[in-house]
Amino acid sequence: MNIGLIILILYSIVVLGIAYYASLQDKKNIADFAVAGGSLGIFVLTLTFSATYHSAYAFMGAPGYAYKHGIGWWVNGLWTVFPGVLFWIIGRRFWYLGKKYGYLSLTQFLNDVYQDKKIGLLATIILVVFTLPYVAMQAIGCGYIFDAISGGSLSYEVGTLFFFLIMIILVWLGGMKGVAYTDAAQGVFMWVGLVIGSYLVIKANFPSVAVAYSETLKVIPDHFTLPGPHGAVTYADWVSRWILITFGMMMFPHITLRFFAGRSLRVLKWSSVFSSIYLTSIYVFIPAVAFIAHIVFPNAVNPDIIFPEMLLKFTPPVFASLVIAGALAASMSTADSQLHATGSMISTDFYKQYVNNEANENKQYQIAKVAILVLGIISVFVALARPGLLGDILAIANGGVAALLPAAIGAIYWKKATKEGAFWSIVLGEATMLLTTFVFKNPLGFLSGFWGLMVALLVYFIVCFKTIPNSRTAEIIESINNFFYGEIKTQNLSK
Amino acid sequence: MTLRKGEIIVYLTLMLSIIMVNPPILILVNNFSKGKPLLWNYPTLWLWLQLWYGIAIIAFLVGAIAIKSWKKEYRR
Repeated sequence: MNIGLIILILYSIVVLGIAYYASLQDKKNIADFAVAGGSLGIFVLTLTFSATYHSAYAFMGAPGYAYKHGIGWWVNGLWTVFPGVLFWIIGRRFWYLGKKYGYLSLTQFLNDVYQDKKIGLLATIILVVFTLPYVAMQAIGCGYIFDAISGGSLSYEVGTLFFFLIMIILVWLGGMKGVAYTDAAQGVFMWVGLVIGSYLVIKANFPSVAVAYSETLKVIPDHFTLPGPHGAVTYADWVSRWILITFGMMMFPHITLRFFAGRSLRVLKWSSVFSSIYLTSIYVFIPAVAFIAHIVFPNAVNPDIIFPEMLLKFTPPVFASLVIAGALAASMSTADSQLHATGSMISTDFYKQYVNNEANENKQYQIAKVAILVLGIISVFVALARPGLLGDILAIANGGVAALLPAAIGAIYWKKATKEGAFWSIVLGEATMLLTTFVFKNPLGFLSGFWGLMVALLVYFIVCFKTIPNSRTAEIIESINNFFYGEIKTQNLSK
Repeated sequence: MTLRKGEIIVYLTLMLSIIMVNPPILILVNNFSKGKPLLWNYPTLWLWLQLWYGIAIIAFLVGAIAIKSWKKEYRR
């Protein structure tokens, strides 16, 4: 048995041990299972948000993209800094509403604020449809990692099945607490792997990072400016990509669930700040690593695996295996959160709403677990089929979810928000996104999801202005404003 | 909803950071980088982006420490 495989097995045992520890605190009800009863502290919430947000992309996609398209990859920085800001600015409003009205999900909020279950149902369907392929993609990534780390002794299929077995056990054992605790451990692993791993690779080849850049400039000068060597990172691509990913990602259920999971507003605030710092810092050496790969690995066939390949070549085998286990950690921390969030959503937003509205906390908890198992099995089948279309589905996943943004954010700020505005913005936003994905591809160089978001925004404003809001919307927004700004208002009036 | 001066400054700084790393400013910096791809031996464009991402993080950190409405706690 090779060292990589031993480390992988030890790593899996440790992760399962953490989930078991979390399960000892599980109260067997849906609130505890879905959002850890709103009990997470700063350290765990920071890392569960960060590690969930950035997946195997951090280890494979990011170096691969910078290797291929150059410094334009660092548009990525916009979606490492600002998601933390949004997690606080938007998230604190949802956190407050979760405490005041008992929401466990975005859908429950949409149903209540618009007083129309149709909006929530639409959101649930969209979120499940666009989240599931992401879970399968993490499984595909893990299949490849298992294959590579075991030196081929574990096949892709065995790796995928093993991965999902661990996922199901993890989520079943500990719910949100299990997922969050293991995310925290995996987040530490990710940071060490990416920052120290990439630094060691650079130092193995050049005396310093600065020298590495100077030397690579002689070989790949086009990588140092936009639009990069292949002309891919245009200004339209830049703008639409960051807007779509930064805002779109905020609507995915594995992120919105975390709005409600913090112990207090203080926890949410500092977790948001530290997430921005954590996510931005993990990529500090990635451009240098990607650029030097053109010298040490010229003409790489698959740019996505250059970083693991360099680790195996330039760092000690035990360290390289540990870092690659970090890549596995990145995949697992995203996939388990997605699986957990989608399962919880089906239980609270579908089963409770449409199948059995008498279901008690324990019943919903059981349903969430069954849903996770079913979703896990579906994802395994998708991953084992390795469908070519999955890439297309993933490309539109962010866009599909981003079309929910005006309806969700509008209802926490704007008293004129109406259910008609929400409904038509979602429907026409999705239609535009599909149209600009499959028929008129990326008009003017802007990504399809960006067009979907823009149309959703426009439709939302027009229809809301033309229709009459319900009193519940105003009541909820007034409640938020009074809570956060009530004292300030009073002070201003007394001046 | 009434924002205080400190909160407005933080939001303006965050918005400024976004403006500085997007067109049309980004186009100017990119054109400058074509003539001078390295600054202190680091990619010029990367340094520019890092600078504004850093400023955004610092503004966020200052806001977290100083803004009063960001210090509210919910009590049932």
